[in-house]
Amino acid sequence: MRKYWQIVKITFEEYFEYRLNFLLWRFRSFVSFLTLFFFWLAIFSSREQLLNYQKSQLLTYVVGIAFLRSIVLASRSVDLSGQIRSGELTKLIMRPLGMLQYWFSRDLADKILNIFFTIFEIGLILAIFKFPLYFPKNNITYFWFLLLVILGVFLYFFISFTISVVTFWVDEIWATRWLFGIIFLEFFSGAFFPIDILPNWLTKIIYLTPFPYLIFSPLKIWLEQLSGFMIIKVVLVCLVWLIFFWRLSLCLWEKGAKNYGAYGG
Amino acid sequence: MSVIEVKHLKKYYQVHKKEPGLIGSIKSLFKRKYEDVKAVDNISFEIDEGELVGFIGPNGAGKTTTLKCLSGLLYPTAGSVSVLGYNPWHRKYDFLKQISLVMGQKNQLWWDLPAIESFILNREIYEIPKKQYEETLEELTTLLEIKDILKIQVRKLSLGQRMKCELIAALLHSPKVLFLDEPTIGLDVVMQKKMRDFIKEYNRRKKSTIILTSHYMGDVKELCKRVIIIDKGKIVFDGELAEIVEKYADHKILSVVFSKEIDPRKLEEIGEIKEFDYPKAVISVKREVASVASAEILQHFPVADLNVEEVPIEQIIREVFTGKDVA
Amino acid sequence: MRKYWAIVKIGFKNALTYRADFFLWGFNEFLGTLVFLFIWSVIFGEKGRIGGFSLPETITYLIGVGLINNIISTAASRFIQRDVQSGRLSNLILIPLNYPLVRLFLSLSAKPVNLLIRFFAYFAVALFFKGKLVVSSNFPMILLTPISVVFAFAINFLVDYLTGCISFWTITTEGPEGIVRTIKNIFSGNYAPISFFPPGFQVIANFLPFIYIQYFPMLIYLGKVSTIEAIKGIGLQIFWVVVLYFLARAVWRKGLKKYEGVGI
Repeated sequence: MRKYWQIVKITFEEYFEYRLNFLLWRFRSFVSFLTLFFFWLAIFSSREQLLNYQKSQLLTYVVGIAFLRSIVLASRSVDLSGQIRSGELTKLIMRPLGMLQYWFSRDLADKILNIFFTIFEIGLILAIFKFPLYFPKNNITYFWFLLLVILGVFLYFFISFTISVVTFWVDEIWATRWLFGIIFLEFFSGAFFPIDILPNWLTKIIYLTPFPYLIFSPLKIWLEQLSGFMIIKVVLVCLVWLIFFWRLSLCLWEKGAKNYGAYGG
Repeated sequence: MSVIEVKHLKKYYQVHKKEPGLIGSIKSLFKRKYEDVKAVDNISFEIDEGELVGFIGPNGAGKTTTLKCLSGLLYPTAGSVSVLGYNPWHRKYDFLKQISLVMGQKNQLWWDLPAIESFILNREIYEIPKKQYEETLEELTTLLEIKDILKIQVRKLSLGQRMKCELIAALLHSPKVLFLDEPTIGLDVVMQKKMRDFIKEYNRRKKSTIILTSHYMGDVKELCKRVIIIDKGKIVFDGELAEIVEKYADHKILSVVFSKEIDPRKLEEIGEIKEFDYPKAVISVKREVASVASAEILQHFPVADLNVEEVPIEQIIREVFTGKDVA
Repeated sequence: MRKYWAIVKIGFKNALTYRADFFLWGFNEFLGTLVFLFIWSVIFGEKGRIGGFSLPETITYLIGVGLINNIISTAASRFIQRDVQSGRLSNLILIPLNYPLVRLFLSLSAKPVNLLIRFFAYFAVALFFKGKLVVSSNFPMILLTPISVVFAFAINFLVDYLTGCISFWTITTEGPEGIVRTIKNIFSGNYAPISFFPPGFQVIANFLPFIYIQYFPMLIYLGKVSTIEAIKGIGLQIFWVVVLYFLARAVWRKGLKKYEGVGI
């Protein structure tokens, strides 16, 4: 266990080494958040409701996006494809480290740092604009919210790990192709807007994918717009997806690592 | 008529020094101390057409910097450089069409296309007449034995094949002056030999002037009659390789294999023992007495084998760099 | 000249090897634009007009902007950064070709393949919004729109080139480039017409060259400016092209000098 904690620490140090990179990235996240926030603020400037969302609800949703993005949608397993291609991965494989645990430790460092900064940034905005956030009225809501967030964290981790591991076989996977997955993912996970304001037929299709459970569903729970029955259903489906990607990433990883030696040029 | 003329070339860089630690980082935000790094410090030389010259020296000695000044990549801080009558720094197209710089792993081939496409592109860029292009291509691909891989995507080639294609791409326009920076770095022993053979043959056939930098003695021994040794930005030696040996190595090496146990102390009377690991011994004796010493050993010791050798060039050069007298 | 035509040819062949990627990106863009337009539909709802635009105008605007984006796009910035940082620039400036021109022609060479696919992507999007499109029949506008797109390309290329030059002075790549790209996208009206923005933003936008990259050509197409204003606007485009050209040239030279001074 200690060695993984060490990895977390080293990841932190890495970030501080590349201070400028880190700051710029935080700045960009902040700007994205601001843009989204102002966008919706502007939309609601002349109305109180959009479909089934009150003003405070949607704005809370936006704040929720910023918060959840930093926790759920951030993963260092991106580095994995780079390392596979460069051959650096050999170094890692040679060490007595469990692959998944290693990457998860790195992610942990990532997320801790993120949460810290995000809270600060959001706090700043709220302090300036002083508008009321929607807080759940039922205490049990917090529990379900937290549960789904934790499931989401792991689900995203396994999804992105799977995508990165594919690099073992397709050495032409470029950052752009991976980016394709990311864009897809961000829209469908509800990281820009609540999914259910889209036409019904589209929403139904999106629900067939694992993505909405990352950001959209937890926030729906927070906003208390799901019935108890729906909440249970959502959690279960998320769990199924999680297990699926977990097995998939393990299996692909093992297959890929076996053939890896023959690779690398 | 010299093809390359360098007079009092100086190239200084300004590097800012930062004190370590957090305080140092903050300080460097406000006031920066600059230091002059004298990469090339007043060197002069001339090279004639068809020469194959090696620039050797330890890492950071100024070899690559000099090469970059010669090819037009860097502008001199002081002094003058003339290559084929041009000032390289102006990078006139007529100048560029007659030179070629091959520098390490920075490739110019298009990764996802067959090598032949990159060759055709170069033909257009360098405005090579069709007939000349075809002849040169034929010649080079035969020499390097890669005629059959030209239509395969570059990314699918092995490292060796890729390097050969890079080389061809750099030589298609039959440059009069060829700059090679560390041409055998990162290659395995077999590839190194092939590369050296190729360069030698190319120089012989085309009579092009070739300048190469290397820190591998093997490259130098095989290829260069003339070497210029650069250390700390200054020329330490400029002349024939054989001269170095004579000038700097005033002794020779005797390697002996004994057939019976001997007393090393007795051996010490003949010369300085560099190595003693029974049954082998390596002794260093002054050049003039080498034959006498050999005779002595043969007479007084049970010898199975004896060889008289020159001090390895690597060692000479190493000692030239460290300023030691080679003895 | 023949040399640059050879560059275009090889760039085109290279782009062909990426056709799979282009399809993926095209699909990606199709989906993204579709979703984006649905959101706007919902927002407009019963309303009618935002920032002087009706829903059909907004939908046409966003599809048009997407198409223009693909016509004027260039990866010059990314390639310059790559060349500077990897040291490849050294090789490239020793070739008897003008590097900036090479970048320009390479940008153009990939377009035929890309545009063909994207055109279909946007056509597919348009099908979803059949009744709600604005098809211009205003003659001067139909002529002036392509002209302004040509200048828009020039402006975009020069901005991109300048952005790439930043890599002469910084170690990190994505940071500054990403910021410029985001600012450019916002102020060129890529996400929403500039008139949707608060007045303060609009004032700033009018001072920057970005507004002429996408917003202005679309204004011409939608007939939201008179012929005189359109011609004046094109004049301003030319103004920006000239300013940016000299700026880019100066920065490029300075950067090159620094690169050679330090060397890689």
